[in-house]
Amino acid sequence: MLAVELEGVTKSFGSFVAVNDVSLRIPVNSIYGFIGPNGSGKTTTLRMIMRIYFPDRGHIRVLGEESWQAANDRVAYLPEERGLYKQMTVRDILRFYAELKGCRNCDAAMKDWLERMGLMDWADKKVEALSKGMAQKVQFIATVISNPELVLLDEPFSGLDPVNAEVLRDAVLDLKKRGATVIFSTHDMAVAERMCDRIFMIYRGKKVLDGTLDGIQSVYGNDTVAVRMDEGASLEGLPGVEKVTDFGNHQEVRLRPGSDPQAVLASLMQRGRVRRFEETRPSLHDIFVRIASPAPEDRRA
Amino acid sequence: MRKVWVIARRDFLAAVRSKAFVVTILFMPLLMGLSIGVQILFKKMEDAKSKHCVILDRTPGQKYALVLKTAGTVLDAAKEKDSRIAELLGFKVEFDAIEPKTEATEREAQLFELSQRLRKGEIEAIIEIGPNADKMREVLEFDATGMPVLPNHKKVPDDDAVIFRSKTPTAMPIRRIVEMILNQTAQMERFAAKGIPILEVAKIQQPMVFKLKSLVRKDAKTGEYVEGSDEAAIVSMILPGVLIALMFMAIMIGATPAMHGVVEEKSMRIAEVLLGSVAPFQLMAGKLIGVIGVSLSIAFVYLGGSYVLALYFGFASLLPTAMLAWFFPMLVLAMLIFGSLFIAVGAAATDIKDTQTLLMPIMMIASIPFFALGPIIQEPNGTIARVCSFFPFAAPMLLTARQASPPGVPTGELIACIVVVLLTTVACVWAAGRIFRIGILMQGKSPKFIELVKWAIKG
Repeated sequence: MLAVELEGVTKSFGSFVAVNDVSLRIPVNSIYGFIGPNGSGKTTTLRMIMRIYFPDRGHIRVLGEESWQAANDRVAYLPEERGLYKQMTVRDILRFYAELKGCRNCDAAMKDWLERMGLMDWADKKVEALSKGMAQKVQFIATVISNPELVLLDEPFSGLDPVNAEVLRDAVLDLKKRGATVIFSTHDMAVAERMCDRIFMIYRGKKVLDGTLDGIQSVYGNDTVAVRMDEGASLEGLPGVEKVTDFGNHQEVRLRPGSDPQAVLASLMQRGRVRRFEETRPSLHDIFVRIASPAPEDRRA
Repeated sequence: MRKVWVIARRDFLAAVRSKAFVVTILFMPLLMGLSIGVQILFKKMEDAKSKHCVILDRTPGQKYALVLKTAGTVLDAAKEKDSRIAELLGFKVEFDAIEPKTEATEREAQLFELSQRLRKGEIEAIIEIGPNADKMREVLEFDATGMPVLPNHKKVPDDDAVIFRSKTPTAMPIRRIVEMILNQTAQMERFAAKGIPILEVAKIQQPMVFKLKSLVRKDAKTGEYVEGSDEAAIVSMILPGVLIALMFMAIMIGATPAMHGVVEEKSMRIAEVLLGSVAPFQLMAGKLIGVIGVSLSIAFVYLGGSYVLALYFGFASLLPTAMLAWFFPMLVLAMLIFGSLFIAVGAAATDIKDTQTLLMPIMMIASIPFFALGPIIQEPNGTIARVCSFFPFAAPMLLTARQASPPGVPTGELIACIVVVLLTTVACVWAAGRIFRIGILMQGKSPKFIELVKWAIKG
């Protein structure tokens, strides 16, 4: 069963095509990651799923419904640039958002979520008294308090410290355990790799990736080697190597098509002591950069 | 609809709980009273100063100069007794008689010297009484009211007239007082010359007494005919103006913060969160209902407060209760028009400053009938008021004002005006809804007014 289905969806703003003929099938009770560079069409796609924007062409079905009405009460949305009424108390604002989703008695759910997020002592404080991280958690609670079946989160972890990010990640995973479908956009590839059942990448309005992490990595083949050398050894100008990405403790080396890994290892051994040499699949980060790096003609421009 | 109410309730509570609202509602009457008090105080301070006028009496014996000099000293005392004089002349006047020069060059030099003093502000007016100013003229014709037609003053030689020179508006009441005193004196002189007793003349000239009263009504309980009180007539005269002012105030106090609220929701990115739960039109409808609630509260506080005060002082029967029944539905219609436009402007603007630019053309159109407010208040059922009642932006205010003054608006005209208002309301809410839907998620540069019109038409 599908939670969301997009069929040939296109959306333009004037002459700019934000989303171009995108089709997508998001199964129920999955975590779906939307990745893509800034301005590639992620937020526009999310807004269309929420029916904030209407597509110029194509069909969108959400939880089996296609009617062009306001987002229904079974779907919740946390926009990227979120705001709260500064003068309202946390309790009042959560009650307000719950009521907007048709949840009349949300006191028990509110108490659970506030305790879980460590905000119980702040329930009667005004929003203006909260830190940025706290306000972000309040906004997350406001999104999920009505126990929605489908949750759309636009950049939910941006700007959070590691502790709060972990709390929110656990909460998202918990939503899935409760049976909800979660779609979130992120720039953090490690988060997408760790959390998402399926990943969708949009670039310049077009779908460029869609599938499980495993499936996506297998498409990009086994042309990657994880390398760790003794300090001081340079990987610069290594024969048969297309690109080296430095992760600090280790480097990811992408081989040229047809290059022999054994030959590369031999070259490395001439440069210093090799501590690690592991044939691996490309990381999501590497795949993202491969797709979204400016083409040579763009760079020249 | 439930979601619309949730939005409306939040917006209403946010508005009425704000400090600005409480301050406005409590302190507005206080500020208005204070401003009137300060004006009266300044006027009194100004009135306490003496205004000096110079008299050049060229009549034989210079009796008019003497009369005016004496009048100057008794006018203050007269003001205490005669309200007409007090109304006419709030301040103290002192008349200085000086010897007029007769030789042509000297005469001109004297007038120039006095003019210079007047320019410097040392004196208020120069009153030059010609040697033949008080001579009797033949009455050649009478006007429609039976009053003798005065000769064209341009054709009267200076020696046969009183010449009054001044350059300040405050000198006009002095001119009227001087005119009154000089004419009375001249007339008495003439009666005396003809041997007519002054007391008899005064008796003959005594005017009829006019009383201003309200209409006769039938007491609902006793069935008796009841005479309207003097105060009721005054209330019915000032009520239309008061109602227009109150409705305008309720609209502005209600709609302006709502517009600023939408700008805040847009800039703080709250709007997108809300649009995740409600459709743009539902959001706008909720805001509109909230804003109507705020305006009704303001009107209720002021009208209710006035009624309680009137009840306390025993004037409650003077307030026509049917008029209050008109006021509230008309305020709702006005708020639907102005509220939807203000909210749409809030949605289109990027910051508060931009709202002023976008609002100006709307307010200019809406304010057209207010330029005719004077004649409308003076004659609530006159042609100007009737024509302006068909202008939908002003109609709710004008219809309420006209209903407050008998005989009220004729039924056919009333229905036609309300239909025009309702159609405009639907058009405004519809256009505002389209502008709101596009504007609320738009960031960056604010659109121009013409772009708003395009959004409204094309959607």
